[in-house]
Amino acid sequence: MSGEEETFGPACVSDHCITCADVAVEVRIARLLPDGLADVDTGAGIERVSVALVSAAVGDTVLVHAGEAIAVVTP
Amino acid sequence: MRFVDEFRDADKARALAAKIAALCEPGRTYQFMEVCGGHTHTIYKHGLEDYLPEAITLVHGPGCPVCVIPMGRVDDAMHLAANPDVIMTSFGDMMRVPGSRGSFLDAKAEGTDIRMVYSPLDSLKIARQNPDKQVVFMAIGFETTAPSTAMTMLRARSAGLANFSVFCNHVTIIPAIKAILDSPDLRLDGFIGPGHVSTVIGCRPYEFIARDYRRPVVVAGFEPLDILQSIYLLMLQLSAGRCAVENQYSRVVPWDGNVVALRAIGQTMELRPYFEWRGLGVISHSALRVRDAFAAMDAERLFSVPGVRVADPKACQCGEVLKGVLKPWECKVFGTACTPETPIGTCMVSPEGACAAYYNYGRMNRNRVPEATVPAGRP
Ligand code: SF4
Repeated sequence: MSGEEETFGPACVSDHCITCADVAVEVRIARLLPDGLADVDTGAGIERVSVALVSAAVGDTVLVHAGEAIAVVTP
Repeated sequence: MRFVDEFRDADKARALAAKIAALCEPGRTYQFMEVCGGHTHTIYKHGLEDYLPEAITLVHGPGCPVCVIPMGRVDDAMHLAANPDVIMTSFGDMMRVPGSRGSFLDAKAEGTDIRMVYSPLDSLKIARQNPDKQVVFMAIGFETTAPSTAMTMLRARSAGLANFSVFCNHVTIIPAIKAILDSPDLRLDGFIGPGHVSTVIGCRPYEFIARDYRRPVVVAGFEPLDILQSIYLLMLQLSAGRCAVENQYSRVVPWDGNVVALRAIGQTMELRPYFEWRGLGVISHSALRVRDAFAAMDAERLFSVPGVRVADPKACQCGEVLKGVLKPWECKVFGTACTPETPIGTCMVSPEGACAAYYNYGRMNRNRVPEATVPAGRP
């Protein structure tokens, strides 16, 4: 199954399940891309997520759930 | 345990434990429900109950989307996935949820094309790579995940993708909380409100709990100290005879939620008249379906799904656990027939399910810190 498991979303960076209930992960925006996408730094690597639903800039920390940033974390 | 590693946190936790204990009225007991499975996980993982006096019990709520999916919906999804024209895509934890004829993982092992994704965006990618197949995304989750599904549908539409659809099982948290408040089995003194759901819906939707049911709600973060702090805030409200909605997690949760995300959900999905929840039964207006305007992306309309109701296995007591009436270890099959490797019920599947959280971290004996003792002989 080469390639097909390659993902956009953040890898499971903790032992919480990423989909579930109410847990999302905090990541830092490294690069904004067209189409409301962004590369984010998860601490474990760079992942591609959607930031279309938040207004955030490079360097901001956002909360990502299932590949979608849903909130900006205020420092 | 984290508190041991970072002793300053442990100091803070003990200080909070003392403040919480000092607010306990002698002879009174308190039951707080943490609605969200993420909180359940943190509570067990960090042994937070050790920091609470005996008088305070935490009741684990229904806030784990995998845990509330009824068996009939899993069977419907399996039926969809069995269609040779379909590639089913699903989050990892959903893969292990048992239907009446096994789980996605079992079906995948038998050759059904079911693929695990981390985000619905991955499903879009699979759809682009497989134009001759219909790629169905098994959408589950509360208002935390619904924005992601909504954005993906909007993206699919603007990209003109004709072979992507959603099997929508999104649920909404408020009707579930209301069902629990109306359930006669349970007496709750307050709620630890879900953190990340609230980033989307905000804090206002909880106001009815304080206003109509006279119970305090504190929306809480996910660090151990966030949860202890929230319990302290609940105790402060109770001891002052107040009930209000408070936001302990304001570093992430705006009072009004994420309006853009709510708009995206509203554009693509609408409330179902009713939906069955495992353990809670049928609750009206408690789930989302795909709007007519997006009918071409609604797997329920593109394919026929049997839609039968399937009773949970006899041995399974998930319903009682989800309502907080039974503690996980009180279920007859807990840890014997039902384990995270071979789950019978859904609460054993996701690490946020109360049974799995307890199985992984639970200790039968509490090792209560001395600060969590209610001071005796108060005037
Ligand atoms: S032990 Fe298994 S069957 Fe029993 S309530 Fe928990 S998940 Fe359900």
